[in-house]
This record gives sequence, structure tokens and C-alpha cells, in this order.
Amino acid sequence: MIFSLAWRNIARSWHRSLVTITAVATGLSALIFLWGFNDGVHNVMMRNLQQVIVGSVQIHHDNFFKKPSLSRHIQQTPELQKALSKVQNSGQIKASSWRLDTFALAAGDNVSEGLVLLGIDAKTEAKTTRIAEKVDQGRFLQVGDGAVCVLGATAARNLGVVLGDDVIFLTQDRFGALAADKFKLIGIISSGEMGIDRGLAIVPLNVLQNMLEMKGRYTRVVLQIEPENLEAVTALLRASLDHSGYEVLRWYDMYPMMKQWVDLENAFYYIFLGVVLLIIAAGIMNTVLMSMLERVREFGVMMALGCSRRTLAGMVIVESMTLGALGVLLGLLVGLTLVAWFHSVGIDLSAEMDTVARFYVDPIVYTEIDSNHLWQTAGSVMAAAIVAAFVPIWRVAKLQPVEAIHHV
Amino acid sequence: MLSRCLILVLFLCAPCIVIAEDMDAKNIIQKVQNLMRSSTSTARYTMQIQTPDWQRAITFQSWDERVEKRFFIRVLSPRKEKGTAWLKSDKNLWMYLPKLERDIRIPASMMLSSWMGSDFTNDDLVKMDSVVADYDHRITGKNEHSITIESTAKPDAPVVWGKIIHVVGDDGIPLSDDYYDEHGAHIRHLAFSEIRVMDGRRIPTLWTMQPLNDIGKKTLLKLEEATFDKSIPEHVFTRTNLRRERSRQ
Repeated sequence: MIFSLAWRNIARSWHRSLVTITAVATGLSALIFLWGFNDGVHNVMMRNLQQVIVGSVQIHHDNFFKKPSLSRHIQQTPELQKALSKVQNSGQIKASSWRLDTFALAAGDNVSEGLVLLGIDAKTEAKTTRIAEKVDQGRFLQVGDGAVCVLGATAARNLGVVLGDDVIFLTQDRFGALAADKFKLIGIISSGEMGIDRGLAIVPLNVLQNMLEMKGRYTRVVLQIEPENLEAVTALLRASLDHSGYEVLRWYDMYPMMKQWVDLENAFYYIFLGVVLLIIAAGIMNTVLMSMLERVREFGVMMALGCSRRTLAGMVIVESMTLGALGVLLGLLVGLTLVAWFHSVGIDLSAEMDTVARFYVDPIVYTEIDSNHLWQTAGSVMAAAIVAAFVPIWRVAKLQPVEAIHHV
Repeated sequence: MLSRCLILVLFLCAPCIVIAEDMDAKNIIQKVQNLMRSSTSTARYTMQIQTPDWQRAITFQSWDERVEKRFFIRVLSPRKEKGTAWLKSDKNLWMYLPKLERDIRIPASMMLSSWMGSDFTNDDLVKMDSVVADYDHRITGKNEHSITIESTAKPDAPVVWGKIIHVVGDDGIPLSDDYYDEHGAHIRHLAFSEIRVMDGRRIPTLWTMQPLNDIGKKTLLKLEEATFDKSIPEHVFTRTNLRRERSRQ
């Protein structure tokens, strides 16, 4: 009886119900859209970091990341190949590339700079990372290149070299002996990321392997993995490699700053959204309370006809929950549509983001929302709608029939 | 009255005694420098680098003019690195690569990098003479055979180490140096041994550098021959000389 009564109340004054549903839906869809914007910015930042050069997961010789040294190198051993092909076959690795890197001194005509000398295989690297897209003068490495190099823009400027110049790299080979070679500058990278622009030189892998006496030897394998598979793949690789002299590191194990930044911003967002949620809850409470007050007389009549307080309160609870659920459904629909719409067209903020555009943020924000953020938000709005109904329910439970009937 | 005067005299002298001790400490360090480097020296060294993965030996010749704060080093062997040369002059460190026929200025950022893969750094080459001037010296221990001197970096001195502890024998011959960073962590230990007579003076001829954060690695620097206080021609310390393949001096 409670349910049919509640439903009739909702349907009968659809006008009043619509106001409550709209209040809930508007609040929820606004929150979903805000999350969509936030997650869109963050996910792009994290994806860019992984895709530009770092990769999602790297495999090194144990302790190489903390204490890089050419003696801590890896080879394409059967055990490593087996571990890799196991995850590769399951389709969870999008691409992988083998690299060799060391510290070197780069010398131009009169100045020299310390930087990271990175040897890559042009073919596999193109599938794994997007560093090639960041070249803005000249070209990136190609298969079959000889002693050529690509430099970061700041490094090139500091060294005073332009395309076509020779750059000398001076380093130590695997046995500590001096290794020096000339490389022709064929490309200059402007990524906006200081570490890359100022401290990176990229050369063909096989040339660097020869120079460093490192034939068939590498310092890292870089894997590109979808975010949803990251943890599973890492666990799988760790299970087979951790105890055999390798280290398997996720991007945020190596460069925790961005993840910490995202976590910090999300924490701010939770506070901000908490405040928004309060406002929305107040709005919902307002509409529910108003709809109760205008029905005090009606409740009085029902009580006079023998309806118990409990039934009355139950009816109001069911009403509020139904209205809340309808509102949440509508809010989800509108919010997700907004997120989906701006996911495809994007929000162009290039005018406002002149400088931040460098920190892996794209000037056009494509909204997307993480599922846990979505359910948290929908859940809290639903909870707010129910909590908002408590005040009216409490008032209903205290009504005296005679006074209620005389209520205006 | 008399006792007051006495106290006053004591008060005035106490710092003098400390200063005198500090002067002593500084003198000892200065004397060690004089002994090991004199005002000019030319020497031939063999440097042996030992690591768990590999080891190698490098022979080089050095020309050192302490007063002008400049030196020249040329590698004699192995073949792959033969002719590689270093020149320090006017606070700059230059390196010459015979294979590419190029000289390169080593930037400040590379000063702490290893020198030729050894446990010595470029900074060790450049800052050899700052040991006396950039530190405050204090005698912290004495026994019948040796004196321990603690040298702490002066507040604004452009040096890498926070503290160096020198142990010097009573004959003025250094026994060991221990290097500490600015946080007081013990970074490396340099031991002097095999005292022999070179060009009329008794000096340690084997220097062993042991980094304490890299177990299994060490560098032995052996002095093969040396001459002291012979004037070195001006042209040695020029960039033109870097490019000369053979050591002719």
C-alpha cells in the first residue's frame, strides 16, 4: 500500500515531482561534467608522459634505475623473452622497444654540456612512443641511419649547434675506457618538457652499442600498456622477473611527481565537490521540504482516516527515494551525454593555456570520467537526496491529526 | 692584582694558543703539498682501475706547475686512449681527443664525473691546490707516529667536500685522507703507501682510492717516476700543445 500511495503521490502532482527530479539531475550532471573535465586533463597528462618517452613499464637490470651503470645491462635472454612473450601473447602490451642509454658529455664548438645519450631503434620506437612527433626542425631517426643524432632544443642552443653540424659525444664504454664520436645533427626536439629539451640526445641504437662496446646489450625495455592493464601486466612480469636480477618499474615508480600531482589535485577536487554537493543537497532538501509543507493538511486527513505515522513516514521515504533515483538516472544520462559530447568535440582552452600547455597538458581538453569517480558522485548525490528527505519525514512523524488538518 | 693580571694574560693567550695550533695544522698540510707537488713537477703514473666487472690500466705523464695553478696530462697507453690529453689553465679544464682531433672544455656540471673511469673525479684534478686555502685546519689527534688533522670547508669555499681528515706521519709524509660530504657522510678513503725515493725526496708512490659507496671498486695510482722543481717550458700549458700527438717535453 505504501508503494502504490507513494507512486500516486509522485504521478499525481508531476509538476512538484519534476522540480525535485530536476534539482537532483542538474546537480549530478554538473558534478559529472566537472569530474569529466578534471579526469580529461589528468588522464591526458599521464598518457602523454607515458607516450612521449617514458613508457608505461620499464624493465631494467636490478637496481639500474637508482644506480645506472653500463655494467648493469640486460640482454635478450630466453628468460626475459619468455616473460615478455607471455604478456605479449595475451595482447596486453601494445608495443615495446629496447634501448641503451648512458651519461655523456656533448661538445659543440666552444661549449660542452652533460646529457643523457639515448640509443633507440627507429622502427620499434615509432610504435612505442611519440617522441618522433616532437621533432620541430629537421627529422627524427630513420632505419638505416649512421652516426646522426637528434638533440633537445635547449641543449642544441646551449651547444651552439644547428642542423648539419657535428656534435661530439664523449663518454665511457662498458670497460670504463674513453669513448668519443662525432654525430651529425639531423633533428631538434621541442617537447616543452625540460628534461628532454635540455638533457637528451638520441642516436641510433646500433651505433651507440658499437661505441660503448655493448653489442647485443641494452639498458632497458620500454613497454606501452593500456592504463587498465597496467597493474596486471606489472604483477605478471614481476612474478617471473623479480627474483632473476631484473626490476620491473611502472611509470609512476620512476617518475612519481605527476601521479602525486594528480592525486593532490583530486584531493582538492574532492573538497571542492564536497562543497558543491552540500549546496545541491540543500537545494534538494528545499524542494522536498516545500512539497511536504504544502501537503500537511493532506497528511492530517490521512491520519484522521486511520493511517499510522509509520505508514505515513514510509510513504514519504519511498517517495523521496523514487524521486532521488529518477533524478540520479536523469543526471547520469545528461552528465554522461555532456562528457561524451565534449569528449568528441573537446573544449578549446588554448587561449588560456599558453604556458601550462608545456606540462604534458593539451590545450584542447577532451572530457572523460573514471568509473570510480562516476559511481562515487552518483552515490553521494543519491545519499544526499535521501538524507535531505529526513527532515520532512521527521516532521511528518510528529504531526498531530487535528492540528494538521487545520494547517493552512 | 697580580692574579687578575695573570688571568688576563691567560685570557689573551688562550686564543693565541689555538691560533698557533691552527697555524701548525695549516703548515703541515702546506708541507705535504710541497712534498708531493713541489712548485713544479713532472711525473709518470700508472693508474689501475679495479671493478667487479672489469679492470684496466692507464699510463700517463703529467706536468704540474703549482704556483701558476696549471697542469698538463697526456695518456701514453693503452692504445685506444693514447694521446688523450688534459690541460688545466686559467680555471678551465680542457680535454683533447686525438681520434676526433678536437679539444673540449669540461663544463662545471661534469666536474664530479669520474676521470677516465677511475675513482678520481675531474674535480680532484682541478682543485688539487684548494686543499690548503679553502679549508680551516685543526689538529684533532696526535700519537707517536702520526698527526690527525681535520680540515673543514670554509663557509663559502667552492669545494665539494664538507670535511677532509688527513693523517700525516711524523716525518711529514701523508698516510691517508678521508673525504666526507657536507652532511658528514664518509664518501671515500685515500691511502698513501710504498714510500720510495724519487728525485732525491722520500714520497709515497702508491695512492689507493677506495670509494665507500661502491664496494668492490678501487683505483690504484702508482707513481713510476718523478722530477721536481725543474722549470717547465711555457708552451706546455697551451691548447696548441694539446693537439701535439707525441709528448716531446
